[in-house]
Amino acid sequence: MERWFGVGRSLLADPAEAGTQACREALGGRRAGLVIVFAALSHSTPAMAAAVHAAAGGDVLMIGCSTSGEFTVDGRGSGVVVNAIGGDGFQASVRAVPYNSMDLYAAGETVASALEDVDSPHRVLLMLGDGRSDDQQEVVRGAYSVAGAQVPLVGGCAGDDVTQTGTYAFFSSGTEVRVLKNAVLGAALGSETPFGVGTAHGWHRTGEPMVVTRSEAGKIFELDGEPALDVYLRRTGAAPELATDPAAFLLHATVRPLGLARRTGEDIRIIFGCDTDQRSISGLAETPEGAMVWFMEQDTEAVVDAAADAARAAADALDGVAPLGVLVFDCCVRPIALGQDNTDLAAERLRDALKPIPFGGFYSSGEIALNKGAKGMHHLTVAALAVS
Amino acid sequence: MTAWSMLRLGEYFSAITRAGDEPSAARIAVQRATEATDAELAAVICGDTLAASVGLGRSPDPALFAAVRPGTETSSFPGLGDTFVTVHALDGAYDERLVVARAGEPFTPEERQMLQGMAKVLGLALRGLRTIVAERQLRLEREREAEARLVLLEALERRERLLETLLRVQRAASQGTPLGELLDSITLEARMLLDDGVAALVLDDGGDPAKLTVASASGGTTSGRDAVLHAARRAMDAGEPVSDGMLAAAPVYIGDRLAGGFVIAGHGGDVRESERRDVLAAFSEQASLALTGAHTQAAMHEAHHDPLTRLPNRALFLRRVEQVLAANGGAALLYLDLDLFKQVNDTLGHTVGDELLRGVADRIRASVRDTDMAARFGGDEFAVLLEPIGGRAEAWEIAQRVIGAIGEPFEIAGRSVVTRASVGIAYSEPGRTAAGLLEEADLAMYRAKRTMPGTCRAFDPRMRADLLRTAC
Repeated sequence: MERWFGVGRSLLADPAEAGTQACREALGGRRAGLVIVFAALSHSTPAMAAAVHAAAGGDVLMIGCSTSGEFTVDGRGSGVVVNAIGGDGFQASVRAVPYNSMDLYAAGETVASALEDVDSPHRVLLMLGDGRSDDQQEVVRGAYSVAGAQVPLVGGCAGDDVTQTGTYAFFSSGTEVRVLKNAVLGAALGSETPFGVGTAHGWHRTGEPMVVTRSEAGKIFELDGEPALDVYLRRTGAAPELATDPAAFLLHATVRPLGLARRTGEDIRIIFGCDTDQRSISGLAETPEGAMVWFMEQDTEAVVDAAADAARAAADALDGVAPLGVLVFDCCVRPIALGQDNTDLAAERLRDALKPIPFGGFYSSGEIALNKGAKGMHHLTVAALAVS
Repeated sequence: MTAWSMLRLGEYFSAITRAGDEPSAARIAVQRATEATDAELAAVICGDTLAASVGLGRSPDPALFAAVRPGTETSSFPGLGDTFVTVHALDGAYDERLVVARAGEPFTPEERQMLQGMAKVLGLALRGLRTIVAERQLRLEREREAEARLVLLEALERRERLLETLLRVQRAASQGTPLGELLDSITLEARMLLDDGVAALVLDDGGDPAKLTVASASGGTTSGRDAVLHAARRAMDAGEPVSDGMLAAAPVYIGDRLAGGFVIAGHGGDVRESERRDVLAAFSEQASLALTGAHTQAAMHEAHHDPLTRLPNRALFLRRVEQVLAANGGAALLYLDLDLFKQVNDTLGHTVGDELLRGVADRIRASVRDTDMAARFGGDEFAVLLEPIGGRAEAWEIAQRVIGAIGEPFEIAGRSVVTRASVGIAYSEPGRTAAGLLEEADLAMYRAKRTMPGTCRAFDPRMRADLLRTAC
């Protein structure tokens, strides 16, 4: 049987029924080598995971995670999306690392060790991280130390519907199905034909730079020698009271990220919280002392186009081979930054760009793409994997 | 603009000083070196062993990296094919080194210099960590005498101080401290670490290697200025650190160009020879980085500023106007033309003319606010972007202040030289382009100059029609 890629979606209210329906649609009666599940927080239940696995015939490799919303060619929604890959010459191997069982760098090393089971001419490591861990770049560093420069890394970090309550991962290396909280998963994929990875974001820096004069991991205490929260509120034109309302601060800050100076462009850091006693602000990824940061501003048209651009770049990276399907990891803050209408427009452009190729994706809390160089963790970005 | 490499080095300092043992320090170094340069591979090699590597999987063949010798520019790696490589010693010799490889693009001098800095800091960190290990072992064995232990601890403290000092200098550099102050802080900090003696930075005179001058020095000059210059010259000739009795020197570079030497002198006291070498190596790197960064900034400044008045040029000015218009901020644009300037040039000569333009530029600067931007467009034409602007009255008031300031006589070469400015004002409105706004201010200035030179006019759409009528 030729290699194939199928996508199914269900918005049924019952998680298990939705899982079964989405999986059947993705499989279309075929036997999959790997199923990849994206489920809304409301549907991220053990029953759903078991139902998907059973609908795929049991004894099948499965990875998946909770999201902040999923999408396919049929539109956006909160339910279950199942992506399935199979056919001749397709290989897969999976790993899972439960939360807190080891450090993040080691977790990256472990999931990348799945590559040792796959010997196809073309390989890629698909990673599903935990969107709530402190320093997601460490997972990518660990994976890169094992995968090396020859194997691209791609994926996204699980979402929790932007509730900050915790993420779920769905995993099976054969018969047993596990649902893990805040875990890191990896699937090594192998094929006779290439995989393509693409990214795009559409943000650029604005205004005068600031120096991070005191920080620790993701927490920034001082900018230009002043309490970071005061500088941040002043430079973003927010009222001081905003800091005392975490929900309002989150909404304000997620679309006003900072960017770190890099050799080619900026590394985006989303700010999501603050501490009024310490006068600090917090982001998900490390913002090191001594770094220079800018406020980042969106070029709306480019941000709208980012999903389509990333998917197209991934498809174009297949050395002329036609893509069978595309996985898309789209930052969960982008819909907040874009608003309803532009988010719809972005989805429409993604659909038009890929037509008639199937795709499945979710709104993620951190995007992974490493194709060149050694830096692979991104934010406010769209990462895409094209499978041929 | 601040060089990105300087900023990356600042981050790297913070990360490496937190490493708890040798393997993690080496691992951080290879990660950060590849991430900072978008490179695929990096390794730290100590003797024949691979202390850390990234990019070739979990346990690559050490020989692949060990085969890359200093001076090699390209090398082939399995799966990646031909790559550009760069090799940096962690210490004086290349026995311990950092190797970085990148596909597709060679390393620039700035990147090589940054990686050199990273390698040196790693070298210092590794030696510090080894000293700690040694100290622990000695303590366990209970063989050390109390006095020796004290010396070792002091050495450790000094090494820690060295890293802290370097971090402080890095921060100052990334915060845009003026070059002079930065170089002075480098020599001062170096001398303080040595407890005594002299630290001096010697530079050639604007690219002429025959002329050396002391650019910054700290400490008494017991060794004499000539001895310091001589030591710098020897280090420059040798292309590596040299030592001669009380004096030691290392070459300093601006980008790829050999630009001078860093010299330390003193009796040494309790400071060991190896520590003096560390201080010399680290601070000559710092001086090179600071000079290279400033050089890049100076080149940027040069490209965007008028050499005579040091004001921004037309291109930079228009870019700023476009930014302000894009942000929909309230702004006004003044267009200035000097009356009587040609007469000054013709009768008193170009030197006086140039002096007058400089004087005018100074008075414009002094008359506008810190947030405004004044520019020279060439000849006797200037422009000022007033931003933010509360209302038309405010712009008008600033224009009057500029006219008043320029109207005061200038004292040039013992003469009193008089000029005056005609000014046109245009106000930003939605949908305006920078070029459109400039044209309106120019038209208003033209009208002022024609009707009453030395005054100010605001743009009125009828001026355009009048101009057409005149042209027809």
